[in-house]
Amino acid sequence: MISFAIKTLLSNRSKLFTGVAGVIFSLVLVNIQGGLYLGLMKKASLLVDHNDADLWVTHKLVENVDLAREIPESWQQRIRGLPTVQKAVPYIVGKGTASLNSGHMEDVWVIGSEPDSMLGSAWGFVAGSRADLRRPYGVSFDEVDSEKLGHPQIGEWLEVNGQRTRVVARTNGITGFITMPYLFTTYNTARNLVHMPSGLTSFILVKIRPGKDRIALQQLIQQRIPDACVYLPEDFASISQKYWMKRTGIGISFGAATLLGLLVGLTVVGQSLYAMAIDHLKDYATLKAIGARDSDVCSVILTQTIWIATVGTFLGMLVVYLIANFWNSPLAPVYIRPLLSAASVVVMFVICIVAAFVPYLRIRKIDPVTVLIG
Amino acid sequence: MEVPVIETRGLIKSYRTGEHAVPVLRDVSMSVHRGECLFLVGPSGSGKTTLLSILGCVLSADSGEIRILGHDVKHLNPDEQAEFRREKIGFVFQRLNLFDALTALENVCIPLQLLRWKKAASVSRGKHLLDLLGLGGLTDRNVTQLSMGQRQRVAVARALAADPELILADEPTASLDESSGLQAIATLKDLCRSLGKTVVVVTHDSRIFSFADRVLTLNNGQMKPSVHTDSLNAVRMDTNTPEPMKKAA
Ligand SMILES: Nc1ncnc2c1ncn2[C@@H]1O[C@H](COP(=O)(O)OP(=O)(O)OP(=O)(O)O)[C@@H](O)[C@H]1O
Ligand SMILES: [Mg+2]
Repeated sequence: MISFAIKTLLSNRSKLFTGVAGVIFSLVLVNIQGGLYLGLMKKASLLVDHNDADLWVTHKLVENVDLAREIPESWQQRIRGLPTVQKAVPYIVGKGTASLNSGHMEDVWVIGSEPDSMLGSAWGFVAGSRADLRRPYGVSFDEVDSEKLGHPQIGEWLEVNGQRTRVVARTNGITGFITMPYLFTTYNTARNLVHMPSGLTSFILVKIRPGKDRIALQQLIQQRIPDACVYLPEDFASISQKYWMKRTGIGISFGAATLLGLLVGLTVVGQSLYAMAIDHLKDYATLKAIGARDSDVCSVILTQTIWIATVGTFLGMLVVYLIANFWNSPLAPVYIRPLLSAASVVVMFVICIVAAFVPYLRIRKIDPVTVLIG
Repeated sequence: MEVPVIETRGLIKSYRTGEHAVPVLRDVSMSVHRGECLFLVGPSGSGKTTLLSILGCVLSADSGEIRILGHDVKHLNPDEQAEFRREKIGFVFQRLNLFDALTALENVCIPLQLLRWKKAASVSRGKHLLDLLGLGGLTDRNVTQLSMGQRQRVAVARALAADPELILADEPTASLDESSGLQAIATLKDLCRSLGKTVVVVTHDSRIFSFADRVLTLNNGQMKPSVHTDSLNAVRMDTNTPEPMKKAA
């Protein structure tokens, strides 16, 4: 029955094409929507994900890496005293306003790293380096924000909160959920730029000695400093992501779009399978008249469905791969996770099989006597 | 005594149209013996196809006795009916009903696939049958690219594929011109005779009556006494148009 199923399918090019297109459309939509969502979520935790700290010490009320609250700088001494700590350094994430030559103002996010380790500093340099950031008033900016900042050139001055900084490096791919340009610099420059009150800082980043237990240290710091919140990076990343997800409801809109994509897939595949079945009612009636079982008829439709789903999946994932690799930008990053793609393929197959149910019921109803009379 | 391939007694069938039932078969009793080639004739609308469908276990009679190949098929459920058709009955449909997407050989192999034959075995059986029907060179041709006469022979090969004991054919020459019609029925009859099959042919076509071992006429829902071919041929020579055709016209 397999060759019957496939030959019948291939003899119906336009419906086959529609069905396959439905699967491709659905799969691409689901994967790209999902990928964009994951990409956006990644942006929300960008500063955490690209930071080598083993633990983040924050204010109790902090829900997001971009929106820090001040904590005592002195906590770092209390942490440094602990036996498994290799390093505890302060880190500033603060807001500033850049005054551009054109007279425009632009809100910026200033990130300051302790100059020895440069922990949590910029990456992806296309001009300059982390070392250049140590130069007096040196800051880096990202190419994505070039226009917002009036196309600054390396070596030029940029005024932030009324103080001069010098553009010493340019990066590619550092753009966060908050959409404000990130300016990376050293801790002390950042202190001055964001007017951080003396004795306070945004975060304390902790590096642990090799081979020591992160969780144990996390609990120990928490005990020592009950006013602090101590996070593992992965937890702080997910807290930062959830913050934006809750605040903006983007999860719901992406979810709705994904669901819609699946629904469209279901409808298109179902419609083309149904139309194909209707075109071949005579063949199915003949099959039944010569003694085909319900299971034979079912296997024909299932074979056609699986064939459509397989070809559609193959082409669809190819399109997803092409989009994810050649149409990806830091502003709208698409993260394709193999597991998620695999899940989408499984869901697609389930949907195709569900879609096959309606034509199957229609064919089941055929009375073989119609082949002779009628 | 040998059991008849077909035996019916007092078959009654009516169709329901809206409120009332329209009787089609009023009291049909007949029997067909192994190896016989029986023609079923009668005016249009007399119920020939209805009777053939009942004999083929595609339709159930309202009442009456019916035994096919010794089985009481009246009490079979739809699944058992399908199994019976698959194994015991070969159909040649009026409009042939070949599968247009398939080649001649694939068409012939379908009944064998339904019987779960291995691919190699069904291909070799299909080729053998197409050879017997003189289509040896056209096995891989799509059936839509065959002439009507060739398609008709593919339909006969498909009916014979599962080696059924009973072949039922509804107007097998309806779509053919005179010479291919005669050739088709000659082939069907010769092949069935040599393979020992029992054949029931429904037809309007007086040109082919001479191929029948026996002709039964259905009229007004009842079977007229058997006409043997010799006397039928005499009628045919006399009038050139048999009774049923006159009534139909
Ligand atoms: N499903 C149905 N519902 C109602 N009436 C039907 C149905 N099928 C057939 N009939 C009627 O039953 C009668 C017998 O039909 P049948 O097809 O058996 O005749 P036939 O002898 O084969 O005719 P023909 O020579 O034209 O093929 C006809 O009057 C037809 O209109
Ligand atoms: Mg008829």
